[in-house]
Amino acid sequence: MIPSYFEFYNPVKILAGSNALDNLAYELMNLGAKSPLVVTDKGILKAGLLKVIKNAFSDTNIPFSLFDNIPQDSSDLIVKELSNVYRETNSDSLIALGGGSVIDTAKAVNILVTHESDNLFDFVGGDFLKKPLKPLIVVPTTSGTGSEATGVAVIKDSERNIKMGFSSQHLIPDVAILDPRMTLTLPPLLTAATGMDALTHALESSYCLQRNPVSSAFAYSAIQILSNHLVEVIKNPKDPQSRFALSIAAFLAGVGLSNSLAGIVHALGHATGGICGLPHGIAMNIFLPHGLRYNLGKVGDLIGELLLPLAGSEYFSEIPREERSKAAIQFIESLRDSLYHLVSLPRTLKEAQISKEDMNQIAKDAINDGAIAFNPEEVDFKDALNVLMMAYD
Amino acid sequence: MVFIMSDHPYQTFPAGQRRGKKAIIRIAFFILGRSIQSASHFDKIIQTELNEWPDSFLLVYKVFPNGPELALCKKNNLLKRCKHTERDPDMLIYIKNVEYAFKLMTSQKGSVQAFIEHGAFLKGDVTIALSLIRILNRIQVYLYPRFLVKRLVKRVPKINMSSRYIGRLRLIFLGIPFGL
Repeated sequence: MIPSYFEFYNPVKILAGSNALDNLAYELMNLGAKSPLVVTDKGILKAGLLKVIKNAFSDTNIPFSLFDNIPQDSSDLIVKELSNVYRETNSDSLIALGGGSVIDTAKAVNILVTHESDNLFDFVGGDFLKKPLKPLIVVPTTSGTGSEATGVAVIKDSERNIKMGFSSQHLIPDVAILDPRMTLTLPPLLTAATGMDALTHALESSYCLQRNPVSSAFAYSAIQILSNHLVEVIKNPKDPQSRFALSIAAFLAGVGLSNSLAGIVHALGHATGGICGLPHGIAMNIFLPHGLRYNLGKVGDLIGELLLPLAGSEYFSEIPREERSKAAIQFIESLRDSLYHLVSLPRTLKEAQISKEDMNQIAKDAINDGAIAFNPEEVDFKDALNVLMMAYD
Repeated sequence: MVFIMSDHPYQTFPAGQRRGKKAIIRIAFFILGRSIQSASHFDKIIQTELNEWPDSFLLVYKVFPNGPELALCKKNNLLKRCKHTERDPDMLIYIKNVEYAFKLMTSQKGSVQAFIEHGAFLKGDVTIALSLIRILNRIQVYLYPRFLVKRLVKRVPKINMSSRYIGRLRLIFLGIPFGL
């Protein structure tokens, strides 16, 4: 059904394909940037990916600064520290080289340096940034978060141990560079987890309350590509074509997410990440089928339609309409089983070694996570706890 | 429509006013503010929600950019209507235009729907915004018949019949007129 009103916005310029990064300096020039700050993490340096960036800058007369200390779960403290680095180095733009945490940190730093502020908490919430931010170029090294396409950043409040959400059209990066070289070294377990993160973005944005026909078109393409390539990449991680396909899918899913937002799966994932440090992609893998099942009563038909991009037209046409939603969930469960057998990607909270004692607090935080508002079915504390217990073992 | 004639090959139109709808929104804000104030006295679940809010928390609803507004402050675990001239609010919920605010305040749209349809935007802690939505859901059960509440919320909060009618009578006879 077409909603009575919706909005869609995606101004990201995409440079996609082999050697896309070689155009980095040209894009900086287009944005009027002369002194970028490259933000990344230690893992990226260890994987030797900085070399590709350095090569892209050679013969350009553009010096760049580097900050490589972004942790897996970035917080307001890192954002503040990095903002000071930006000022000290007289940078005029940001290049985020990494996964979701690095990209979200760069977005949050961009808020502070543009507004000449030190207090990130002043900007929590939605649609409250009133001016364009400094140029931001994103080079994803995972295929999952889709943060290169979204106007959202999630940063941990180090005092309260909860995730803070920032959303604004100004947070959407100027350029996303999807270069297959940058994901070739991503370890198989991380590839599987981030792939399931992208799949969750695409699925939740297709059936949650802010869905619209434009964002669903992006999400459907993402689901189809992920379904065709995720297991293939795990089996053959050095295949640049499949790696490239996953990067495109993650971007498409990110566009869907940015314009439709998510639901209970993300709310539970954010809460579990905040309390137990469970990586986001693993949390998505664990909660996805349970979130789908929880919403069957309200949006079973929509979930049934997702069987088409998930399983292909032949299988879809064999399944009677009333059984498609359950078949879609079974398809996802069998995908999770495949990934478990290939790389031991946890399917339950128990497999992820999450303690049962944390369930109450996770449920409490989940019903206070912004994503819960966009879930089709109402979720109260008991509901969240029930879903958590189902996901436990 | 009033417009200013000039010698230029163009016309300049002053910003118009929708006084009628703004007046209705003001009245609705008043009723909503008093209802929240009153329900926070007697509804235990609303009190539990408010327990999690920081003391002296200031919440402002405002119609963008200069329309009617409703300010509520937390004092002694109660939400009370107040003025907010002295300091910036801790949470600001902007309703994007008068037409949308009219639909929202006349219950043609629900609170969550306002965010889904980009009719409202929020500055502040989303945790408290979600708590506020749960409070508003309960207020609507006291104020409106069930068939109307079902259109506005995802799931009608459970309040037993006697509490619902006692609460409704209290809002009508004490809450809205006197804020008690």
